[in-house]
Amino acid sequence: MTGNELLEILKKRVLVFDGATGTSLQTQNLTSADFGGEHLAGCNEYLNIFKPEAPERVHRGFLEVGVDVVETNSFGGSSIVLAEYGLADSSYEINKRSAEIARKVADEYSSPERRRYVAGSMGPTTKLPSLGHIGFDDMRESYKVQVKGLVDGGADLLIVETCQDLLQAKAALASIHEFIEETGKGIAVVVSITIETMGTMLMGTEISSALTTIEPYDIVTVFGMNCATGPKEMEENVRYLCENSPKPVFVMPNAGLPENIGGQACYHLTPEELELWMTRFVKEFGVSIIGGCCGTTPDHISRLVKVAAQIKPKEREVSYTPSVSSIYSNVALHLDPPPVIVGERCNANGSKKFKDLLLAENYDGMVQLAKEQLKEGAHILDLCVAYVGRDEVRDMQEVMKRFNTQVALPLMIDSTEYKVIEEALKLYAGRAIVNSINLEDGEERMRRVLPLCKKYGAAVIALTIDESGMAKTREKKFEIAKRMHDLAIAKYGMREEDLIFDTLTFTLGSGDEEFRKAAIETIEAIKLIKRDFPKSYALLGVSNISFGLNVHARHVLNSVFLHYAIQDGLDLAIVNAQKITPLYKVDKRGRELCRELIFDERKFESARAQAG
Amino acid sequence: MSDSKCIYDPLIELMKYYASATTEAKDRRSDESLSLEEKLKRRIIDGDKIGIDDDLKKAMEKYSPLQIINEILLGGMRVVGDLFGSGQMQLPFVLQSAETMKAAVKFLEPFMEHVEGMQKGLIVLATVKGDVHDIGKNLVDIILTNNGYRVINLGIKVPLEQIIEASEANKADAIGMSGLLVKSTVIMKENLEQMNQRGLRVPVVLGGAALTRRYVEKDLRKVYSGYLSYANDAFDGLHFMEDIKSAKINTQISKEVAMASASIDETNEQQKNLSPSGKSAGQYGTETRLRSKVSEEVAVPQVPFYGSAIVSDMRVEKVWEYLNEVALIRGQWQFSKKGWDDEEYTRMLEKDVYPILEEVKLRVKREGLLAPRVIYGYYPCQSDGDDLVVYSPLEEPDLQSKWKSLKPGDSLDGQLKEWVRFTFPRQTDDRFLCISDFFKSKDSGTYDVIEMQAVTIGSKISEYTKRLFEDANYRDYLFVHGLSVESAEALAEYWHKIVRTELGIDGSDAKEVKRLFSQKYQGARYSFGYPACPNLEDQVKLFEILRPERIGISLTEEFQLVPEQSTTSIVVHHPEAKYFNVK
Repeated sequence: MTGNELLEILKKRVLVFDGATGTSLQTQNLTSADFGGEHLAGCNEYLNIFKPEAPERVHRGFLEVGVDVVETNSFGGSSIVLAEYGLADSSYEINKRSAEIARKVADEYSSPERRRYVAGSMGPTTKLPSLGHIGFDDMRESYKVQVKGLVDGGADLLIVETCQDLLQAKAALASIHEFIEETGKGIAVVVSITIETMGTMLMGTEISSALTTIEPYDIVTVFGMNCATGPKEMEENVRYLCENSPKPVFVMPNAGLPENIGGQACYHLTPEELELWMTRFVKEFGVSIIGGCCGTTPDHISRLVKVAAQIKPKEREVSYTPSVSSIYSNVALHLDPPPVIVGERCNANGSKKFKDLLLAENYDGMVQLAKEQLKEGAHILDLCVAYVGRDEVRDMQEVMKRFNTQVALPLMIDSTEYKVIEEALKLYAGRAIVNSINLEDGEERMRRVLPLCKKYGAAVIALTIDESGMAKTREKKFEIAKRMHDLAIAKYGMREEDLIFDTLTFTLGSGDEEFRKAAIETIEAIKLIKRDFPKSYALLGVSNISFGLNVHARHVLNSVFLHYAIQDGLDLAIVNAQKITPLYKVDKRGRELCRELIFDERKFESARAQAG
Repeated sequence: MSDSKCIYDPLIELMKYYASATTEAKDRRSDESLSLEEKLKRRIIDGDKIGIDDDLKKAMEKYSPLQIINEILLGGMRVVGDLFGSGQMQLPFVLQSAETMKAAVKFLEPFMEHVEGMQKGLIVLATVKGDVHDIGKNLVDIILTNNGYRVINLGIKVPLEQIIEASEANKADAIGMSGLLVKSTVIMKENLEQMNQRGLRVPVVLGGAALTRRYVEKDLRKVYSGYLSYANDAFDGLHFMEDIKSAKINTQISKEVAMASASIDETNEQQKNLSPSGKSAGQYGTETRLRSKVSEEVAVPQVPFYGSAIVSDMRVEKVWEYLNEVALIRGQWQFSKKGWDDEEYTRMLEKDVYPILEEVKLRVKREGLLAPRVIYGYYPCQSDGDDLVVYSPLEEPDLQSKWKSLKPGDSLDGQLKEWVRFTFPRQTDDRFLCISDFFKSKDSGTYDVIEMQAVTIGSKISEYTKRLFEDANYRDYLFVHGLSVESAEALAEYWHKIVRTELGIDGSDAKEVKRLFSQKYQGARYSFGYPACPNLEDQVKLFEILRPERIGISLTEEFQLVPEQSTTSIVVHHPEAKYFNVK
C-alpha cells in the first residue's frame, strides 16, 4: 500500500490497529522451552521461527474482533536487539517470517469488500544514537535489513514505533528512504513517538519538536504517539497534534499507566474507559488511526472497532507553523515580532574565539560559546568548522555529536562540502537548516545538497548567486531566487516553506559608487521574493552592510538597516545578537544619518542629478 | 551623476559623527560577584568545566580537597539531582554536570593524602537475567562514580551467581539490580529469595521502568531480611548509598525502615480521611451555630457546565489587558509617588517607566516566557455551619473533566454525594462573617454553586528571573520578576471576569479594567492563605478537586504552589461577598 492509498482510506474512515503484542504473548504463559531454550527466553521475535503458532494466535485474537491492521511480531527484530541473543544474522529471516505469519492470518480474514492489512513493526532498539550508543550508519543498516524482511514477507505498511530518540527515528526513516529509492516500491509509513510520563520523549524532546522534525518527510504518511502512558496522560499532546500536524494523527495508548502488582504489570484501564477516551479523541480532536499498546486485549480493541464504525472523525483545522528544532525544542521560522536571530559566533571563519577553540580542539569551550549565544538572545545558531588544513568532516562530527545534546537551540549547518553536510545531518536529532545552495556552478550544488535535505528533512538557505556572481540589482536577485525556487520544487521535491532566501548585501561603507544602492536593492529584492513566494522565508547576514566602518558606526548602521529590512519582510537575521541595539536607543542624529545612507539620500549640486 | 558634485554625503557625515565615539567596554563577567564556593557549585550545575582548575586552586587555599568535594561540589550535584527529579533538567545536561564533577575530582585527587578515604563505598551493579536494557543502570554508574563511589558494573543478563560472586570478591557495600521488563521484577524477587535463603544481608537497591515503590516496599521487603530500597532514578541510587554509608546499617536500618513504612501507611490513612465524608462540622462552634446576617435569598446562577476544563493557548496580550499597572509600577517596581506632585510623576511615568514596561513586555513575549494556562470548574455545593460541602455526582467516570453524568439544568436531588468538605473560620466579632455563609445551606434544600480555579503562567519565567538574579542583572531581575508576579495576578483576574460572564453575573462589572482591581463587580475571589481563608492546608482539597498537576502546577509539602507564579482561588457569586478579615 502506498502513502496515497492509505490517505484515501483515512479520508473515508477511522482505521483500527490491533492491541498489545508483547503482553498478549505473555498471557500464553510460554516457557523457556517454547522460546527455544534458556538463552532465548524473552526473545519474542524468535517465536516467529520456533513457535509461529504463538504470534499467529495473537493476530487471530485481534482479527476476530474486527481490526483493520495487525502489527507484525518484530518489535525487537532489528539486528541490534537480536545481537543480544546471538541472532543478529537472522534478522532478515525473522522479520520476513513475522510478516508472512501476519499476512497469512490477515488474508484469511480479508474479503473483497474489506481488506485486512499488515503493518511491519520497527521498534526503537536498545540503543540511543544521540547518546553515542551506536552510529547512525550502523543503525540505518540494521533497520534496512528489517525493512527488507518485512516488505518481502508481505507487509502493507511500516510503522516506526515507540521512538525514544528522534535520531533513532531518523535512522529508521533513512533506511526506508534508501529502500524506496533502490527498489522503486512505494510503501506507507507511520511514525509513532513515545512521550513519557514526564511529558517529553526519553531524550527530553517536546511534542512540538518531534512534529517539527518528522513533518518534512514526505515518505511519512501518518504521525502520532504510542506507549508509556494511558490515554488520559496523552490528552494534551493528542490535542496538540490534531491542531498542528498536517499529517493524519495516530494514537495507540497503553491500557492506563502500568502498576506492578506481585511482579505482574497490571493495566487498569477498562475497555469501557478506553472507548470513552478514544471516542473523544476521534470525535473532538479528529484522530485518524486508533489502536492499543501495552495491556490492551481483544476486549479493549473490540470497543475501538465499534468506535471506528460509529464515529466520523472531526474535521481538523490544522495550523502548522514551519519551524526548525533541536532535540529539545523548536523555533518557528518567523517570529512575531521579527526577526529570528541566527547567532553567528560558532563560525571558524567569522569568529576568532571559535577558531582558536577549534584549533585547540577545546570542544567544551565551543559548547560554552554556543550557550553564551543563547543567553545573548540568539534563536538559532550557525555552525561552521571549515578551516584550512584541518579535516572538516572529523571536526564537524566531533562538534556535532556534542552540540546535538548540549545545545538547546536549533542549528544551521554551514559548509561548502557535501560530505560534511551529510555527516552533520546524521548526527543531528532535530530539524536543521543547511547553509547553503546557490547557482555559482549552475545546478551542481542544488543537485548535491537538496537530496540530502530531503533525506534528513532539513530546510535550506538559497543565496542569490549565479554563474556570473553575486547579484547586485533587485531584478537579478529575484531572477536567481525564482530559478532556484522553481528547480527546488519541481525537480527536487522541496516545498516552498523549506526555502530560505538570502538576498545578500554589499557594504555601504566603501563609498563605492557601484554599491551606493546596495541596501535599497537588497530590501526591494526581499519584497519581490515575499510577494511571489509567500511561504518562503527571507534571511540576511546583516553586518555586511557596514563593512569597513569603525566599530561604533557599524553597530548603529547594522541596527538601523535591520529595522528597515524587517519592515519589508525579513524573517531571519544572521547577526551577533549582543551587537544589535533597539532603534529607540540609537540617538536621533545617528539614526537619521543611517537612514539617509541606507536610502542613498545624497544631495547634489545639479538638479538633474537630484532627480536621478 | 558623475558630472555633478555631491554636496551632502550621509556616509561622510556618519563617519565623522562616530569618529570620536568610543565603544563601551563592558566585558564584565557577570558571575564576578559570586563567592568562590557558589561559583564552583554553579559550575557543577551548569556543567561548566572550563577553567575550573583555577577556581579549585583558589578553593584549596581555604579548604582541603576532600572538603571541596564533600561540602561544595556535591552540593551542586544535589541541586542537579533535584532539577532532574523535578523534570527541569534533561539527561544529557545531567551527564555534563557529572563530567564536570569528574574533571574536578581528577584535578583534586593528586592533592589528597589518602585516596582510599575518597572512595566512599562500593556497589555491584547488574541488569538481571533475561533483560538487556541498561541505559538506566549505566546512568546510576555514572552518577555514583562521579560522587566518589566505586562501581563494579557487571553488564546485562547477569545471573544471580555472578552478582553474588562479584559482591563477595569485592566486599561490596551494596548490590544494585536493574531491569526494564516486567518479568525482570519477578527475577529480582527470585534473586532476593535466594539471597535470603543463603543468609546474605548486603543492602540491595532496585530500579527499572517496571518497578514501583509500592511493589518494592510492600512485596519485596517481605522476602529479604537485609536492607532493601527502591530507586526511582539515578539520584535515588545516590541517596541510597549515602544512607547506607552514613547510618550504622543492618538491623538498625531495618528498624528505621520498618518505622518509615509504617508512617507511610499512616499518611495514606490520613489522606484517605481527607477525602469525602466522615468529618463533622468542624472545630468552629458546632453547638452555637453562629451565622452572619448575609442574605440567604440570593438566586443561584446557571452554570455553563459542571466539572472542570483546561484552557491553554491564551494570548499574552489578552492577559495583560488585566494587568494592574499601579501594583506593578508602585508596588513591584517601587517607583514611589512619595515626594512627587501629580504632574511630575505622570511625566516621569511617560518618559521613563512606560518605555521600560513596553521593553520588558516585548522581551517576555519574544522569549516566549509566558505560558498562561488555566484549570477551572463549577461544582454544586452547600454550606453546613462553617463548613462548605462540595458535591460530586453518584457515578462519574472522570471527575476531572466536564461531567458527563450531570449537565446544567439537570435536577440535582438524589444525584449527588459529598465529595470534599472545607471548614472556613468565622469572625468572632464585627459581622461574624464566614465564607460558607455566602452559600445556600443544607437546610435550605437548594444547591448552590462554587467556582474554583488554578492559573499559572508557567515555570519558564521563574527560571529566567532566577538566571537574571544569578547573573547579577538585578535591575532586569526586578523588572521581569515584577511583571511575572502581576501577570499571574492578571491571569487570575481575567479568568474571574470570564467566570462572571459565564455565570451571567457580570452586569455590575465596572467598565474600566482598573476598577476591577478594587472589587467593583459582583461576588469575590478568595485565595487560601489570605485573611478570609487563612488555612493553607485547604490547597490539598482544592487539588483533589481540580488536579492542577494537569497544567503543571504542583504543591510542596509546605502547601506552596510550584511554579511560583501560579494562584488558586475559589470564586463566590454572592453579591455581599467581599474581602474580610478573620482575627
